Amino acid sequence: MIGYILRRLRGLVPTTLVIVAASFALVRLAPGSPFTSEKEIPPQIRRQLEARYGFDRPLPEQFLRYVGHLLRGDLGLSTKYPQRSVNEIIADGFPVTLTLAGVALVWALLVGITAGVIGAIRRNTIWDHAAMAAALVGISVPSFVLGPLLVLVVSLRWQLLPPAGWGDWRHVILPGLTLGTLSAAAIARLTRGGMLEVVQSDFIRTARAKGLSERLVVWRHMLRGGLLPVVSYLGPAIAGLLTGSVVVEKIFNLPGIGPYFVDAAFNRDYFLVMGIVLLDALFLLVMNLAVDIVYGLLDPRIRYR
Amino acid sequence: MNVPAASGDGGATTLVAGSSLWADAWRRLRRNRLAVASAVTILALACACLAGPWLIAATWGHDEQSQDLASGPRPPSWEHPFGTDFYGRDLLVRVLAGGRVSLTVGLLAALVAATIGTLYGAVASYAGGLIDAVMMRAVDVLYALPYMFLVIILVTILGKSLLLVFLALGAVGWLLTARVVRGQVLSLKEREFILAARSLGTPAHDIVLRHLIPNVIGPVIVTFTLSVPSMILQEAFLSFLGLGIQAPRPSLGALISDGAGQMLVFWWTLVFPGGLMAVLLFALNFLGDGLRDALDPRLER
Amino acid sequence: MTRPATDTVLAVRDLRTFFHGEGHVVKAVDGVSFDVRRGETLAIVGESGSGKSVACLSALRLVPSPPAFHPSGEVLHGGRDLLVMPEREIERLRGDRLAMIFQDPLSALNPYLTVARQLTEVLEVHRSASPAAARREAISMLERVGIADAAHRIDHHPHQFSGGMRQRVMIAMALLCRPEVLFADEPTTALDVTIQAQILALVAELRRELGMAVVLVTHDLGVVAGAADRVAVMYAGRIVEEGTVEEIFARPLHPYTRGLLASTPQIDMPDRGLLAAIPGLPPDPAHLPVGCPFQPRCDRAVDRCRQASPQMAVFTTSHRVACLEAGEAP
Repeated sequence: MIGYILRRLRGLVPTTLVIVAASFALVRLAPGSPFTSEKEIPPQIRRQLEARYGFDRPLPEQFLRYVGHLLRGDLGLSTKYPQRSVNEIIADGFPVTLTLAGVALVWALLVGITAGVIGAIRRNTIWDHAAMAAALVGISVPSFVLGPLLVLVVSLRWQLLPPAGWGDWRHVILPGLTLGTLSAAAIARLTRGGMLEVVQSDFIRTARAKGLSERLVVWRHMLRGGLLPVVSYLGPAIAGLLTGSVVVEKIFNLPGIGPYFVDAAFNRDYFLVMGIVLLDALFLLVMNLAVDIVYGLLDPRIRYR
Repeated sequence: MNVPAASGDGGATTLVAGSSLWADAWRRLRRNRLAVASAVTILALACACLAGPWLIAATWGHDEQSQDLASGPRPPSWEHPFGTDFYGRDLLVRVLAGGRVSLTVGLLAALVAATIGTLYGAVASYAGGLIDAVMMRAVDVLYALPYMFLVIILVTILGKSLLLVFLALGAVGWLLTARVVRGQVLSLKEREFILAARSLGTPAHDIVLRHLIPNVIGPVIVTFTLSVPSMILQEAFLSFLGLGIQAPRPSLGALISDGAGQMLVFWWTLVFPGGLMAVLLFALNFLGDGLRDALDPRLER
Repeated sequence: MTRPATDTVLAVRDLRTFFHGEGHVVKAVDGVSFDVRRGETLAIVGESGSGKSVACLSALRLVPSPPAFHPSGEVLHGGRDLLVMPEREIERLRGDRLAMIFQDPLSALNPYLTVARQLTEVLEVHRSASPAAARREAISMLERVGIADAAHRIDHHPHQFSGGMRQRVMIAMALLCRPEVLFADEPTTALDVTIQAQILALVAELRRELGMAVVLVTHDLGVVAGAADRVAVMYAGRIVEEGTVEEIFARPLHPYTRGLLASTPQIDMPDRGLLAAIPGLPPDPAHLPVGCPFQPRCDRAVDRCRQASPQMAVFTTSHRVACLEAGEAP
């Protein structure tokens, strides 16, 4: 088990290298440069700027220098916000994004698993149909429709929660709901499907034949197997939450990392784009490793190789 | 829907098995009233989006771009059933034209993704061994990445045309199909009827054509149907961020983005495009679910 | 209906379990009655689809409804009807007084939980045993059913055992509370032939030791001959013949029983002749023939067999048969 984790961690190294190289190539081979936008810059100043960021060197050398900086934990300088390093921008924005995604994930798991379990246990009843219809609505209403609607009703009509901005816990509720609803709906459907597979299996009949109460049958014997599909969905779900946070942060005007990314991509803010991609990718790779480990803990038949 | 005929050219035994499978699926799908209603809704919306803008232009003379700044945004009326937007443009036309963009992008991107995914998954599973391991490991890694970020980079680099948007979405959206196809082929390779065909000396291309493909096509159709709404969603997502189709051409995401900014005063600018989007996604998801239930009888009862 | 005798631990009376089909009703169990006496082995024999497993599951109310209708009839145990008692009370009996083991031990054991967890929970539920006591008890029961190194093996998961060992684990799990009746639903069908005999011997041994009754569900008359005291033969959801094992083997009365015997290889077969197969297939339980359900396949069928379904008739005190032509058997 520990050997497996170490091997997986070691496997992250080449993957990360590939991601660094690919994002570097993608960003740098694209037409345009950080200094072509907006107003015309005199050639002299432009050369100075390029020298400052090292853009006057040949690309391979730039790449090696970038990797060297990365190894020291330096993500480089932003060209759009010259006073700030990429590290600073990320240190400001990433915690906000993570908080948002975390709240969304908790909400998605709570609501999704509850609805899915109820749907499976009360199969083909009004409860099941209501839960699954709600899940389908959840999948079909995009966050950028749901978010404004929530603001309209909860913040502006009922004046319950702030409509935008970042501060205390009240600011995170509406964005969290908005971001997590899609995952909640997906989790509800996966849970129901997984539970239904398990409900029909022989070992559930055995559990009943042993005289266990219905509650024990569900909690001890069904839930673990029934939730395996949800566990394997967690990797893509977290990726989806990070992606979705870009829009949600825009809707609620949150100081997360998402809006920076779109801006940076537009402005060819090379180091900022790469920094954000790299950080998100690494975060997700680690989360996926964690998910795989949890899966293995839940299903003893999985062998670690 | 002439699916039953499509699988009907196999050998005698596969013909019976194959066509009854599709006939069963077709029967089950028709019995699922919500799925049928969804299919009808989708067809109706598609027709409206295709012909609507042109019809309205012919009858009322509104088109998607003609502005009337003096009039400004007005609530729904007989002349403008969905109201008008900030520039006095008829919202019904714009919503329908936006729906057309969404449907086009959704279908084409899902098609690109299904094609790439099927080929990739089939090659990986058929090659097996190390090639399979490496190919699927790559899928795992890509699956874990925030691939919308990749799309955003692609779109900002390549420019914001309809073609590039669906290519970019399709180019990164094939992972699920690849996994599904590979899983299906792997399990089929070991199944008795394939082994039987092989032991009878049936040539490899016959096995692939008559046994593998008919059995893989079901899951592919289901994945395809379910990926159309997610592609539509992602296109809208890009448009919402201002990365999709270029203004003044309308797209649902951009319309919703505009509407969200002015929903307090001009509620209709959010409600109508948001409503069409939701109905479209709802119907597509429901149809996909119905197809999956119809093609996977295991999940029934 | 006959009153249960005093040594009867379980009396099943007119048990019916119907399933909803698409526009029709499948009569999986259609009026089955039998007694299980203290300490005996009753074999219920029949082809697959004859309703023998469903009958046992219905008696313990383990058939999910829907898709099944609630079983009707009576299942009497200790003077009470299992079919009408509250869920809480039948839970108290299942796994304690009335236990059950299944055909495929791999799928019948929970793959996600250790053997220890699955065994001790029985004692925790029915005996309110402490975790430590339950574990000790579980280990000694595993040793009793022949699992070597039980103290260590108990922490393994089901997939780490072989097929025969898994069935031993199942048996240990069922016997932890020393039940009065053990339902064994084709307990050896999924196992190798050599293992089959071991498992059957183990069940017989434990039956004597614990004084429990065994209801052995099987399609294999070869198994019945060595293991059972009495035999009930099921066909199309009904019992068509019932008697002691000697009666059934020496004087089979129902044409179906005779067909089954003729198609079972026996070492002491007198004329070393060919095995005879029963012509035709068992009827579709959704569309049973009119009259006797066996009549379309029966070489002795006469007109009245096609009109009314025969009732159970007493032949000797222990031997009953549901066949109109049985009396004139050669």
